Amino acid sequence: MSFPRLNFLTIDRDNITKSLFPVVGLLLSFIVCGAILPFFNINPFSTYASIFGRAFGTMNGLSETIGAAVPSVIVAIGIVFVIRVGIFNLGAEGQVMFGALGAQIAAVAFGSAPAPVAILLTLLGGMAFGAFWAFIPAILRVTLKVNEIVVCIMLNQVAIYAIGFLVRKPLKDPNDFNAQAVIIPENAWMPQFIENTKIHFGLAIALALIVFIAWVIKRTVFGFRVNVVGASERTAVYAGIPAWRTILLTFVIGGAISGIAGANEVMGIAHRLQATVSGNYGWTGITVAMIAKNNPFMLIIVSVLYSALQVGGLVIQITQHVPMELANIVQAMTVLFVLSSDFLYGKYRQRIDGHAGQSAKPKGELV
Amino acid sequence: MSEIITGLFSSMFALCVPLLIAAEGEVFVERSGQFNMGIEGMMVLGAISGFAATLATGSTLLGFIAGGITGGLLAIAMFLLIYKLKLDLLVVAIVFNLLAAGVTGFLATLFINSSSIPVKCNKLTDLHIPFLSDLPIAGPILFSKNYMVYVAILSVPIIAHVLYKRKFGLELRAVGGNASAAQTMGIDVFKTRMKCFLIGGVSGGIAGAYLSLTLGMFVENMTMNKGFIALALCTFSKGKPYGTLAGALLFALADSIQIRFQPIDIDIPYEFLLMLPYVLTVVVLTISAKRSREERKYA
Repeated sequence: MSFPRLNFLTIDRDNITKSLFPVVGLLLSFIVCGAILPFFNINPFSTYASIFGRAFGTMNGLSETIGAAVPSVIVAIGIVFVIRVGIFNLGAEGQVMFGALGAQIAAVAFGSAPAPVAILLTLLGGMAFGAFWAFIPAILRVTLKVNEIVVCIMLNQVAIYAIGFLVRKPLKDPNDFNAQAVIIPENAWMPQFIENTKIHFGLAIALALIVFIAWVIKRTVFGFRVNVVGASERTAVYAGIPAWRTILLTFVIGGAISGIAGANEVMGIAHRLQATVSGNYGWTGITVAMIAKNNPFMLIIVSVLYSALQVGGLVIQITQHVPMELANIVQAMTVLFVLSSDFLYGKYRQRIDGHAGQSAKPKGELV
Repeated sequence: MSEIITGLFSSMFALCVPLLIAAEGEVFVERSGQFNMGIEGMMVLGAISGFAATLATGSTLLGFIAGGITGGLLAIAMFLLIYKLKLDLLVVAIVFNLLAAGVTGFLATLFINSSSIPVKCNKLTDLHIPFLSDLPIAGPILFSKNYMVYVAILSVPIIAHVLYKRKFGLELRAVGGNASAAQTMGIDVFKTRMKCFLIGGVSGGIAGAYLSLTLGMFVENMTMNKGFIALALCTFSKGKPYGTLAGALLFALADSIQIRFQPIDIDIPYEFLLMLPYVLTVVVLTISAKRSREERKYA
C-alpha cells in the first residue's frame, strides 16, 4: 500500500514533469478560452494583455495581486492539510467569513493593547471563529457520519446571511451609510512591508504556515497519524490511532487556517468587516489546492497566477466590457486540464516503462 | 389567518417543484450507487439555457427541454471524466459547479445585464381549471398551478413504479447494492450507471429551468445551493421516491414561510428567515443520521 506523501523537496523525474502541468494547464485553458472569445466579439489578445498588464505591469496592480494571493495561499494550505485525513473541506468560504468576524470582534475588544499583542489576539480570534465553523461539520461527521460536504455547503450559505445581518445591524458603523462594521483600532492592523501597498505582514504568515504545515505532516507524530487515517481509517484504528479524534482535530485546524485568511483580510486590507469580506477566497483556495496538490512551491505560483486573473478580471470588465467571470472560467478549466494531464501522463509512463509510475492514485488521497 | 395558511400551502406546491424534480432525478443516481455533487452546476446552466430558449421561442415547454438537454450533456461529460479518465468524483463536481457559475455569470453579464432594462421571457402561467380552481380553499392550493407542478408531482408514482416494478429499476438497484454481483448477473454496470447519471442530469437541468421560468428572468447565482438541498433530501429519504416528495414539501413549506414573512415587519431579521432552509437541511440530515444509526443497531 502506498502512502500519500508530501512531495516536499523530493526531486525526481515524475515530480519535475508533473510540476509543469499547472503551467501547461493554464496555457491550454487560455488557448481554449481564446478560441471561444472571438465568437462573442471579444479580442482575446487585448483581453489577456490587459489582464496581465494590470496584474503585473504596475506597482499598484502587483500589490493588488500579492494582496489577493495571500488569503488564497492560506486557504489552500488548510485544504491540503485536511485532504491528508481524507476530507475535502468545502466549507472554507464560510470559515473565512467567520474568521473575519472573529478578527473584527477581537480587534475591537483588544485594540487598546500594544500592537504585537493586539495583532496576536486578533489572529487568535479569527482562528477561533474559523475553527468553530469547521467544528460543526467535523463533529457531525465523526459522531453521526453526516455527509460533511452537504453540511459545509449549507453552512457557507448560512455564514453569508449571518455576516450580512451582523454588518447591517449589531456591528454596523453608525457613522457610515453603507452596511459595514466599524474600523478596527490601528494597533490590530497588519504592518505593511511597503508603504501604501497591500503587501503586508500576512505574506510572512502565509509563508510561515506553508513551512509549519509541511513540518507537521512530515515530522510530527500527529502528522503521521493524519497520513495513516487518510490512507485507511480501518488500518489506523487497528494500529491504535484514535481515528475520529484525528479527523476532528485536523478538520478544526483546517477551519482555523481558513479563519486566518479571513482575519488577514480584516487586519491587512479592509480594516473592517464587510459583507463581501470573503472575496471568494474560499473557492479560489480550493481550486488552487486541487491543482498544486502537495507541492508548496506550486501552491504559491498558482495562487499568484489565479489572483492575477482575479485582479485583471476586474479591469477587463470596466475597460473592455469583457465579463470578469472569464477569470473563473479559465481557473476552473485549468483544473480539468491539469487533472486530465495527470491521467494521460500516467498512461504514457505505463506504455514507456511498463508500470504505472505514480499515476496510480494512492489510497486516501482525494486529489 | 386562514388566508395566510392558504397562501403558505399554495406557494408550497409551487416552490417544491425544483427541489422535487432535482431530488427525484437524484434518486436514480443514488440508488445506482453514485453521488451527483455536480447537480448545482446542472441547475445553474439549466436555468440559463431554459431562459434563453424561452426567450427565443416564447414557449416554456421548449425552455424545459433546453434545460434538460443542457443538464444531460453536462452529466455525460462528468460521467465520462469520472469513469474514463478516473478523476475523483468530488473534484470533477466542484470544478463543474465553478465552471457553470463562471459560464452563466459570463453570459449573463454579456447578454442579460448589459442593458439597464431587465430582459424578460414568457413566464409560466397558472392554469385555470374550470370549476376546480374556483373551490374555496382547495382551489388556490391545489388546482391553480402551472403545468410543471402537476408534471412533477404526478411523476413521483411513475418513478416509484419504474424503480420497484420495472426491469430497469431492478437492475439499477442491483448495481447500487452490489456492483460486482450485478455484473456477474450480466448487467452492464457502466451503462446502467450512465443512464442513471443522465437521468439525474436531465432532471437537474429541468429543475434549474423551472427557477428561471417561474420568474421569467435569469438572475446570477439564482439556484442558491438548492441543488445541494436536493442532494440532502435524497440522502435522508434514503432514495425513496415518496419520502423525497415528503421532504421536498417540507422544505418548500420552510421556503414559503420565509418568503411570506420577509416583507412583513416582524422582529426577526430577514437574514434569519433566509437561513431557514439551510439550517433545516443540516438539522434534518443530523436527525436522519441518528435514526439510521439506531436502525443499524437493532438490525
